Amino acid sequence: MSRRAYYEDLKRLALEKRAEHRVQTGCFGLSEVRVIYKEEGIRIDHWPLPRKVKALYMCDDGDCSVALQRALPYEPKLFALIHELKHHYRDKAALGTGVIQDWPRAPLAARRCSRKRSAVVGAASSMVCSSRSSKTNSMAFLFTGVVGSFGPPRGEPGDRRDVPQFSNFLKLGNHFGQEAREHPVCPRAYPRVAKSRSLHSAQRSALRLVVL
Amino acid sequence: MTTLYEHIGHKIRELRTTYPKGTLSQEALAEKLKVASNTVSRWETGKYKPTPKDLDSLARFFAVSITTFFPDLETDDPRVAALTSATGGLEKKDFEEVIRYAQFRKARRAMENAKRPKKKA
Repeated sequence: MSRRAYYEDLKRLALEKRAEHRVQTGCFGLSEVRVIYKEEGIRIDHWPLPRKVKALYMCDDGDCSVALQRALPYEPKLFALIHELKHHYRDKAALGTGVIQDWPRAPLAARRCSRKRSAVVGAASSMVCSSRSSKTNSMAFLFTGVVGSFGPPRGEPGDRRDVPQFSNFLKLGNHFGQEAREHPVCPRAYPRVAKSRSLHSAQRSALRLVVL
Repeated sequence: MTTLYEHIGHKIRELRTTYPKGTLSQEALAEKLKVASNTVSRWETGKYKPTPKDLDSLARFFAVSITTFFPDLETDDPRVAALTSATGGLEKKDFEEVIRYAQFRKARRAMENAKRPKKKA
């Protein structure tokens, strides 16, 4: 299966599962993920995993569970749980052979290209493609590739990348434009995001818009 | 015939009494595990049923595998090999934690099967 076919297949699966579990992008959080896990019969165990392993999916004899680092912040925890859900839907059958791994990283040239600022474009789907082909993880990509691309280069006067700013969220909202309006943050979540002045909120909103 | 929980109780007592740094009292073990002092005694007699998490704490304290507490849980080498392949790149200590989790799952399943009432023929 080619790389493109693999992702198309995953996209189809994701849409199917979103409809099945009535997922609404704006209102999606840990409690909603826990409901999905319950419906799928997957247990979540907090486990002292090594730092480099955020979560771990295991399934044998119909007993499926995910070991999760307790100390993870909200967004990485959400991201890790959704990532493991992909293994549940897609890789369960192949688990016994021990050959599970995510699709190999893009060649170096593609990575270089995606790390250029010009590669950051408006459509959420392009953002996801760029994020996937870059070497960075999603969080780092959102910081450096998206939030960082609106301001002056790192270290120069006016660089506010490391300063928690509510305006970063606004910039993201402006950046996504139409797509953001198509997937508005739900009224329940919006006041919380709007009141918060931390960059973490910008990340949270960005993840809701881009990844979910 | 001893039940699973009696077997677990015997094993806890055995590990406690053969503890390398001299015999460990029930109170001392309870203190280490941060449980009530009579809980260890009741685990050993099979009056209380330890949870899989309790067994994990005990296994970590005595530096043994959680499967030690179960009469017929052997190491599943092919599955461990598969796990090794899937988690390639982890350091030895990190990999041990992954194995520990796999064994915890196995132990939990064994305890749940023991709790489940057998169907009448």
